[in-house]
Amino acid sequence: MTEMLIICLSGAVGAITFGVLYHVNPRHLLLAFMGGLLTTTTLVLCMEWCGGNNIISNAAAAFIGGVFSTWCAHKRHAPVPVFMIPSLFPLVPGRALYYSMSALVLHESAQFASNFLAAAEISFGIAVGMLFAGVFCDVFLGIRNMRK
Amino acid sequence: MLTTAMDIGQQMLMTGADVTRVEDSVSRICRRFDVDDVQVFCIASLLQASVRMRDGRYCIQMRRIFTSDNNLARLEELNSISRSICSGGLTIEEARGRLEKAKVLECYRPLWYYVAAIFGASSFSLFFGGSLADGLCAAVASVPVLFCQRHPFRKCNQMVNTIFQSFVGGLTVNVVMKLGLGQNIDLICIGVIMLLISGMMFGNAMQDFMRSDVLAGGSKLVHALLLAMMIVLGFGISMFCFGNWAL
Repeated sequence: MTEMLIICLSGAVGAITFGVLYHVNPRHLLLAFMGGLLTTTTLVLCMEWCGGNNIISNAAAAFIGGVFSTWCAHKRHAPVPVFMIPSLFPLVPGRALYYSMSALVLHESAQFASNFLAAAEISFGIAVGMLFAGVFCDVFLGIRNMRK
Repeated sequence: MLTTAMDIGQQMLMTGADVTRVEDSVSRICRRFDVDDVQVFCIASLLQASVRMRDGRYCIQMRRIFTSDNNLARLEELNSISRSICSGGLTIEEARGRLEKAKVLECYRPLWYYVAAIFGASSFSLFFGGSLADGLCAAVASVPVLFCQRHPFRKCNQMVNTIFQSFVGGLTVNVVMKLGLGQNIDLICIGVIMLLISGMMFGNAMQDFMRSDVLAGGSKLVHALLLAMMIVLGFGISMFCFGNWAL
């Protein structure tokens, strides 16, 4: 439990720091932190429930992070990437890419293949999650606009 | 009108915006004025627009993009300028004035980037399973990496720049490991590497792919993967120098 909490909090701190490194306006940083926390918490919980399935876990985390980012963008009248990039940054497959590229440098084909596959799965999961978040927000906001 | 729209689009691309947003912004600004048809095509390194006026005249402009940065505050300001033009709240002259200010927009003092890099590298080291000691080592190694990112080789070829940054990062990680401060060299390296990975390019590539813009998405993804290889190459060279080739 403590380990999960550390992972979630470190992911959220990572999101806010990358908000600064990507020059996000300071008034949006708290939302970037919340986005990062939401994304990493979803990732950790889904990893637990789905037995470590990279695609499903990352897709769910990207979906939640994407919907939250779109909501923030509408509230703050800012472009979606301002919130989405820091929120989803913890999902970037840094570890898998590092191990796969190091295996490539060391000519370890089997390790390269398995890590590269993991990186590809994570990337695909993020892409699917972002896609569904976009469609969900379009439909949801479309219905709201029709009602207005 | 087209020149201003293209300048805004060019600046958007240079801040790391996704191509759909750039195409949409340029089209909307042009449509705000008396035009019959607008066609915009954009990839990460090129922006091209053709406008047909009501009197049948054509106007075509192109912008070649050589450098790009990740500046989301600038993107927000450019987006705001674009929206203001479209809603009629800004004339072209006023927009040009705001555009010039947006080009030099900086939200933070340089010290804040170092603070962010320290916390970012250490938190990602912890995020990927490192210990507190690993987090501290990643924090130490992040400072020279960010210094190299912001100063000496900034204007140099991006690939060479990335190799140099990761080489410096790897050297620092090796030094702190030799001093007996860290426990897991790979997790420290991963924390530092997250500073170098172009997450924004990666995210935009995924978005472009999902919008069926395979050309824009593919070029960005290949670029991001090449940068990832350069990062590991830089780290590999530093490990080789220290006789610790097993990454």
